[in-house]
Amino acid sequence: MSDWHDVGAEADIQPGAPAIARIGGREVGVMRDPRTGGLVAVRNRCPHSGAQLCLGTVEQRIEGEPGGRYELVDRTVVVCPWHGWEFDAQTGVCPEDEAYRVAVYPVRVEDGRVLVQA
Amino acid sequence: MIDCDVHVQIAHPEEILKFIDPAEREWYRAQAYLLGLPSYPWSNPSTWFRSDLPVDPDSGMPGGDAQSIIRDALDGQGADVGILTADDALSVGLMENAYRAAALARAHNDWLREDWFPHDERFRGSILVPLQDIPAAVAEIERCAPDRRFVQVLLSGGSERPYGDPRYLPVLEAAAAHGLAVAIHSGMEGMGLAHQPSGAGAPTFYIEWHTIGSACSIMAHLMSLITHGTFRRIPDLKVLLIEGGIAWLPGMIWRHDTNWRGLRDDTPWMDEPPLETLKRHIRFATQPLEHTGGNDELLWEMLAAVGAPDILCYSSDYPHWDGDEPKWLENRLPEAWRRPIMHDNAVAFYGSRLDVPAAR
Repeated sequence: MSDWHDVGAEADIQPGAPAIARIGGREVGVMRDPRTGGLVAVRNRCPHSGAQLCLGTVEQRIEGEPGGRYELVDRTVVVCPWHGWEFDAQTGVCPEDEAYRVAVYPVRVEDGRVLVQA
Repeated sequence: MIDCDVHVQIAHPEEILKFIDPAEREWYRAQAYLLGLPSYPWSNPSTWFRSDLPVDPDSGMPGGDAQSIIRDALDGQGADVGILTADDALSVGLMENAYRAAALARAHNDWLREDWFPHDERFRGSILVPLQDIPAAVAEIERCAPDRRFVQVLLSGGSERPYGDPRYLPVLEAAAAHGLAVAIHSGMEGMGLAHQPSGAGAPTFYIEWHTIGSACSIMAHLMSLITHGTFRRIPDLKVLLIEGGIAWLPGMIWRHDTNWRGLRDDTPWMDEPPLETLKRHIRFATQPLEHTGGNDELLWEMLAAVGAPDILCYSSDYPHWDGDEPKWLENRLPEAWRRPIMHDNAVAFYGSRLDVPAAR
């Protein structure tokens, strides 16, 4: 069973300001989900071409239908800062190509501190 | 062999005018160029036609009557089916006058049906439409579709907008509803209502137009149709891209594939890589298959990566100067690609309207 690691103060994690910690030889980032107000923890490396994923954004997913119809859906994605690839914040899977997946980790807040299980 | 691009020439304009109301005929006769069709400022410096073909004595053109095409393109090239395509009249959808365009498109379709089809069971045809007037274009498809010798609706590469634009949906829907393919033939870029070719302004020379003008319009339509989600809206739509070249396809579609994930918020209905959509819905006529300077193996490898041989259908472009003679092309192709490209892919693509006559 993985251990819980303290990665910083919850109040410091805001949209555009992730907490990034090195845990067991890999970087894990915790980002604020502006849709739910909650936190998401993902590995800080895009499986596409290696960018620091947590320097990207966390966004509400847009879906659509031909004919110019757009809809914000009940799904959060982490968007890579390099090429804009999206990864589901819950599963880590890229919706456009499931062969690409980033590790996601359980995250909780305790006494104002953010804990990640990794 | 099935030839997807056999051009009919208007050697005798009166043959078409007889299908136009007498009240309108003088207008067409009085126009500076053939029947008022927009034409090329970039003229071929030598000849538009293969110079080894017999020509009509009045017009100096080959391919101006059914017997010439039966002799040269069907019997001469060994075709089981020859799909007739307009030549100068490809620009009918770009005439400034939508009413004259509608009458001329209608007359050209009647001309094929009355003066060409009856001469040989191997003839199939392409429907011209006045694309300036979408309801009129749809009506013309509806009028022609019952004759199953028409196998496709023919649009020009030159256009007012790329064909994924929603204004064109009724035309694409009408074609698909009748089991007709939509063929987009390069050409007419910069003519009539069409935008200039190249994206960088008008080219100076014929060779420039011929090299990139015709390829760029085909690229734009291909990308537009996929990006608008046209094939999700019209699942039965099938599109043949004619004479825009093919060697550029891997580069362009890989670029499109690269971009669609990262830019998806603008087009979130794109639910698969563009290449996958292309493989199901789009075919390329082979002519002019690029010369590769001895690198044919490289070309086959590149094309295989984007779906060849399934995405390719043979075309000769008879009677033009840059046509690809079928034996020459067949010998150039990898052996396993010959049968699908020369025959089977077109049969699958066109479906029951092709109804290939029994071998002679």
